[in-house]
Amino acid sequence: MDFLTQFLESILGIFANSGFASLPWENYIMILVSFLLIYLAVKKQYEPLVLLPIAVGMLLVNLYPAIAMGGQTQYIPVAEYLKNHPGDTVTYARVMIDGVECFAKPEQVGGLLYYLYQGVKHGIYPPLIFLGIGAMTDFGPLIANPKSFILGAAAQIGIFITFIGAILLGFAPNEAGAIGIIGGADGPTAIYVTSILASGLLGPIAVAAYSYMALVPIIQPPIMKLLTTKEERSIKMVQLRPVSKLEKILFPIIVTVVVSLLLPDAATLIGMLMFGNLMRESGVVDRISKTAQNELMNIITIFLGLSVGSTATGKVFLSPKTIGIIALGLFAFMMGTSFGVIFGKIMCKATGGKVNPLIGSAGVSAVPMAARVSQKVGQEENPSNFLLMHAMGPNVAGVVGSAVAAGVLISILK
Amino acid sequence: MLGNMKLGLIILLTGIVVVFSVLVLLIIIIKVYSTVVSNAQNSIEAKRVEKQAVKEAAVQEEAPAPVVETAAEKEDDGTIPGEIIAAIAAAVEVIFGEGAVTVTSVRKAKVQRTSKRRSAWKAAGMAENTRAF
Repeated sequence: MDFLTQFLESILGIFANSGFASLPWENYIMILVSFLLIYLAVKKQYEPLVLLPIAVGMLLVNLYPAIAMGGQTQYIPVAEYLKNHPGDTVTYARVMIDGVECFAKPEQVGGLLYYLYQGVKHGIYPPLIFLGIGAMTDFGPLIANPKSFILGAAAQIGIFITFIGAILLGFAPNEAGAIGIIGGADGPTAIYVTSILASGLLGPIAVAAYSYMALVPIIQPPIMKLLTTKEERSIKMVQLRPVSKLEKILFPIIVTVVVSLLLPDAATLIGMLMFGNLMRESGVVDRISKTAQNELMNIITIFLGLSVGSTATGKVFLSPKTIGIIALGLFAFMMGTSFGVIFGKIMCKATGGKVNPLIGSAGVSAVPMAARVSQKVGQEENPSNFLLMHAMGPNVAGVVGSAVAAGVLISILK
Repeated sequence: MLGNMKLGLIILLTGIVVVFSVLVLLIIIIKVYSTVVSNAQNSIEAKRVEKQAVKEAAVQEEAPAPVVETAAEKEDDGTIPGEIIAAIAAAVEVIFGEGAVTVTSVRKAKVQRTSKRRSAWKAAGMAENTRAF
């Protein structure tokens, strides 16, 4: 009988410790959301490289919250410890707390995702992602047509307009800055800015930023068609001039110096982006350039995705704030696209119809998806039109522009 | 809220002005250095073409001389030693018969080099595998 009681108690104990008994209802909803994201990544292939790790991080943290919790340390006054443990030769670290020397005794180690998250918290992963992006990007179209920078700048206006929208909805200025940067359509920049300005909103902002980047082919075309005429969409652009190797090598050096001197807060992102590009264009460090493009980029993407997903716990994510962030993020993205196209129209008029306004929408920096969308919409009107290389100029200008906008927000709101 | 709105407007204006200023500055810098670089490269290229043309003209002006008499002394365009020219002329005489042909000029044939040259390791591997046994 005693044996049966103990058996039942152990079964009940296991059940009491299981997720079924201890998880709040919000976690179950988040588990369903993670299933939806896994579906979108696997079946629809919406940015699967990023969305899948985010979804799995989200799933794991809501199934087992301790996976993202930090270790616990007990602080015991040294004198008290030695009194209670005479003759004990301890090796704990000693720290001073309120003038009392204490032993820092580790009680429990942290979860895996807690340690991976440190790279996000301390702003390490986004610049490394920028390094990889720089190593993969050809700035040739931008150097051949530097006016593309105007379109890259125009698409950032959405960030600052959304900032006001977020203030109106009651967000604090630092939170509004982090929300506005979603309009830059640049995941690493959004994470970098949010980790500095409003780390508590990292989960919803990262998920919103990457979701909208994945949805570029759905969000942008209606706006592009609404703001342009059939004639404008059919404009064929002249071929870009070839860019010499020397120009391509000088570009990252010059941009790094100019932007870092003007906006030191953007130096980390721009510096890494341009370092990656210099490795690519110089051609003398093929091995590390390839590592930055492939292995390093892939490893950081896994770490970044998992740790961002792990911030989306039920309690944090399921709040009115998140709904506001999702709505404002979409607004920011739409405004960025609209201003890009509007400035494209202005450039079209100014050049006597030599610029197709559709390339303006690529000023949001979702590389290369936004440029592909410009190409696709242009080709729908005129099948012999090839806008891809022309759209790559504003597209990569958008990467530089969003890093500059991030520098502005950080320098004012930090 | 009013204070935050004021901050919002300041950030809107600052952000737009700074982002556009920085990127317009980059446009100007890129335009300037692109012009400088392409001008420099064009002038280097023009000088190279000019040099090449002068060299080719000099080679063409050089009168072809019967090699039989002067083969040992002739240096062609200065890059082929006289001994080599003499050896070639002798080889031609041996093959076609004495006095059958006259070697009037000798020039180096252009060797087509492909960009995919074998590295030292590949060449060593190739030599190892194709060595006569």
